[in-house]
Amino acid sequence: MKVDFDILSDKKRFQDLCEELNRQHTGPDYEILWNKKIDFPAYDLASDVYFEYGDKPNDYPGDETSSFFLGDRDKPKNAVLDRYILKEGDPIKARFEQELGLKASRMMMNVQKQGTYIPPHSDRGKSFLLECRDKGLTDDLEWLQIKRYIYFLQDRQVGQFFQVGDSQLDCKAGDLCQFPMFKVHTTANAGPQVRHVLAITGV
Amino acid sequence: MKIDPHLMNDRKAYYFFCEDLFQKHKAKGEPCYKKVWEGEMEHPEDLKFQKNVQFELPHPLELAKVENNYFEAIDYEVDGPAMSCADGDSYEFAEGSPYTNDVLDRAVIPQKHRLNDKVKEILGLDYARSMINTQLTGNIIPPHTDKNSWMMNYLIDQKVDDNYDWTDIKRYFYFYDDQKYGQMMMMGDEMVTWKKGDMIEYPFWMKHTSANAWHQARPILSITGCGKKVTWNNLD
Repeated sequence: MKVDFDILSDKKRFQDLCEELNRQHTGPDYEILWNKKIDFPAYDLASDVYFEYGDKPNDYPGDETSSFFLGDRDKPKNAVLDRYILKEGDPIKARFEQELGLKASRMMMNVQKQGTYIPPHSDRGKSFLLECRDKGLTDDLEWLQIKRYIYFLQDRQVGQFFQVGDSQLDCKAGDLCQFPMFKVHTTANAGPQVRHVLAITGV
Repeated sequence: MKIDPHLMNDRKAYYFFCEDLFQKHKAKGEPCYKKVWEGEMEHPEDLKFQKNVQFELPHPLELAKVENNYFEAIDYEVDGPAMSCADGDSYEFAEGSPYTNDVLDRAVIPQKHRLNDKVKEILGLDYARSMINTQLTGNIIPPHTDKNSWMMNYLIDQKVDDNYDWTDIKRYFYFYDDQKYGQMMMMGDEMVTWKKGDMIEYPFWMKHTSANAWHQARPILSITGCGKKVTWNNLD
């Protein structure tokens, strides 16, 4: 099934697509591809980047009909990450692109502080895919050729939750975790230490 | 091993005591929690909830009695998902707590309430303290081990503390709702899964933590009890 930008622009249709792909999926929720310790520079993080609720499937996987947050006043202050988007030419970005065979990617250092969380959602990656379209990379692109990875910079600490599908990730520093683009995921950090991950979307 | 209430006043000693019990527990192949009952429990509508009850730093036992703390918790940083650290920094952060949302809404069930009687009957407890803890969206509870100060003080006041062993102190969670996506709880090094109506038991020394990333609240009945019924392998 090829990437359809009309679906990508329609939250409900994208949610339906993810649910259908998830129904068809017979593999695991995630896989650890490899483990390598990689040194990262100290990036200049933007603080408290708010979770974009437009990307979340409203009611997945329960049968509730209410949306997550109805307006600004309902937005909890803790649904945030500190974030840095790696620039083109960044050696870390180049290394991961080469190792993963990616023609294009968006990589974000996501730092989850103590007491913050991200609600369940599936990422559309719309702006990234629009960039890919401008580069001519999406003409024959299948949905499942959109790849998602999370690289863990630290061992998991007690109180740090990262759920993909029905599975809780229990990762070690250096683990590269891959999961299908349609998988719902959610995180929370109840532990006493911040958590650093590199979130990668690529084609 | 008889209960030594004074151990509660030495948080480090109590922590190592709990850690030792945890290691023995795991060495015997025991799970970090187990389902012990399922059924329907009342959620009383006439209770007054305290809002945003915050995770407390540990207090001496006597202070806990005066202040009626709920989170008489004790913890040290750990170096991994298991309770395997030998030592470390405490939650008394040098620059203050990093949390702003380490809170629950809670209602304590009165001792003479019918729900408390039912809890004692179902679980075979001599004494019980039950409370409804509601975790709202976006709130977390850091990893901790409860001191159960209220129960300790109660046993002292009742002058029955000599009759009980440490393993007679029991902990339970009853889940009023199905687990929703993003409602996460960890006991020791195991993730907890639940259905509406499940009652789980976990040893009183078991470190636990939770978070609610779902858009609906997660209510549970949290029970601390005391009774002679053997529910885990003897660790003496």
